[in-house]
Amino acid sequence: MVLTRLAARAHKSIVRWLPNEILTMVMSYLLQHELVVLCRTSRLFRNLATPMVYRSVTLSTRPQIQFLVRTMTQRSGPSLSNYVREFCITDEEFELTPALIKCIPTVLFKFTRLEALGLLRTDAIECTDMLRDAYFPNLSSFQYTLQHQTASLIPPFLNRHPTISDLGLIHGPDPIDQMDVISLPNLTTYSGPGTIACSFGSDTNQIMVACLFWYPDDLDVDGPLLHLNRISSSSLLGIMTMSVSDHPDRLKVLQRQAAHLPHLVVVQFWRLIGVCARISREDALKIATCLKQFTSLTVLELDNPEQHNGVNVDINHDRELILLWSRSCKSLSEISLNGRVWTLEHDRWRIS
Amino acid sequence: MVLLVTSDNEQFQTEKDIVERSVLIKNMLEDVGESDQPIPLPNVSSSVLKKVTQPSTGPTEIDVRGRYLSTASTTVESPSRPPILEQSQDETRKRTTDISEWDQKFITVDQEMLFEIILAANYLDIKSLLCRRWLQDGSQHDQGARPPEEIRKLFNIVNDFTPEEEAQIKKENEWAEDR
Repeated sequence: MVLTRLAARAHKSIVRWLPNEILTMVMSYLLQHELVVLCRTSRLFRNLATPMVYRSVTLSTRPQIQFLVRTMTQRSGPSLSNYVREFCITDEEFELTPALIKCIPTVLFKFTRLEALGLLRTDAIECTDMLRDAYFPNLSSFQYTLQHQTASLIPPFLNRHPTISDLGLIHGPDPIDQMDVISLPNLTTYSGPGTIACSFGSDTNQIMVACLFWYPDDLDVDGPLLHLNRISSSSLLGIMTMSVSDHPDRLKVLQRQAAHLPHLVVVQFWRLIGVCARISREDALKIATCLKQFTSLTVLELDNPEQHNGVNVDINHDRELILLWSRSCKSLSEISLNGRVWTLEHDRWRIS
Repeated sequence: MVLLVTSDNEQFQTEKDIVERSVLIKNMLEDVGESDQPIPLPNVSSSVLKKVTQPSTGPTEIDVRGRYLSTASTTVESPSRPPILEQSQDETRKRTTDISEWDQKFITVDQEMLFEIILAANYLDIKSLLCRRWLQDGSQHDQGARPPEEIRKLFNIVNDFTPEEEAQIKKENEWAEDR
């Protein structure tokens, strides 16, 4: 439909002369609760806005889950479930009734066009059936909190979904046993325990970015890094390592990265918020020695700038460290430290 | 700075990064290169260009939003206007035309302006939040989302639902309401 002034004057209502494509474009900027109100204004708006409301379903309270289960089990449920592409239950703490715990996987089975699935409250949800039987042909992102009793179902579930390109796994304080081989030929981003990375088969060879968690009991620092290098060395660009508690061998992890993966472009090495003390001269020199081994490292992040609590605000001390490290690794152009991002511009390091 | 000439022959000196929000002008500048020549915009009037090139936090937003809010509050506070849900469709239509002349005139004028703005955004290929503004101004309220009947009044939308259907949709989407 072409927009003309004549068409506009023929209708009193602004929505009568706007083509559906433009209305849809405008709606794509609205928030979900705004779209929900639009759905109730007229049939036209309902038809355009409903697919957008259901496209991404994020649930973080018990009433939300109850209402969604109610909707999906009524007459319009099947057609609405076809719109769902992303589904996530967040890790907010809330109580779930036994009846709801049973209902959630049943609802999940209906989302056959799912592209992203995030189940971060699996302590409360019975996912055994879903992990054993469910198949989502278009699944590209899977984020899951591992449970000891269902961990063995994870490799078959993942192997059934070779479309996954983004995988995130975490687990509670109990260690997870060694898993069977995981084959994900399209995986580009992995975030999870280093021990599970060791289960990736040789065809999981497209990983570009890996965020590895070290738990207090994980003593094998070299294993996951060597394994990643073996299966994905040509694609791997960045590694981020996080210790779940203040791991005593934190610096050793960086040293091993330098030794095993010297071609990395990005290294994120976030220290824990609240325990990240000022980096001592001794540690700074050790980091500098590590940096010498990297051949093309451009970005080094030692903190998450967005979550930093503002300790260690001595800029001159930080500047000394930045200069020390940049002399050790000439390819560096960005360093995050103590909540600040330093960048190299015209041969000078500045805070950006 | 870039010199723009509108359909009513007014000239505008505008920051380059602002005019480059328009894909049309951005491509034009890339093709022509650095030049002092004015860029003619035969489909855009000066009043519309002012609105289109205002930064999103500038007076236009406050202006447009402020005027919508004032219309809405007139609608809400007037006790002589019961909620549309309680009326038949014929009465609804009558009520819509019954809205005070000033309101009616205001809505008409503003919708024409909105049309011009959208037309200009379409012509200039600006995928900014400009379009969002009018719909959001309509759907957002200071204390959360506006009720649907207010949005219908603002944009002259005819309610083609039965009360039962509307209640059913509300129930269906309850999980997604802001809380």
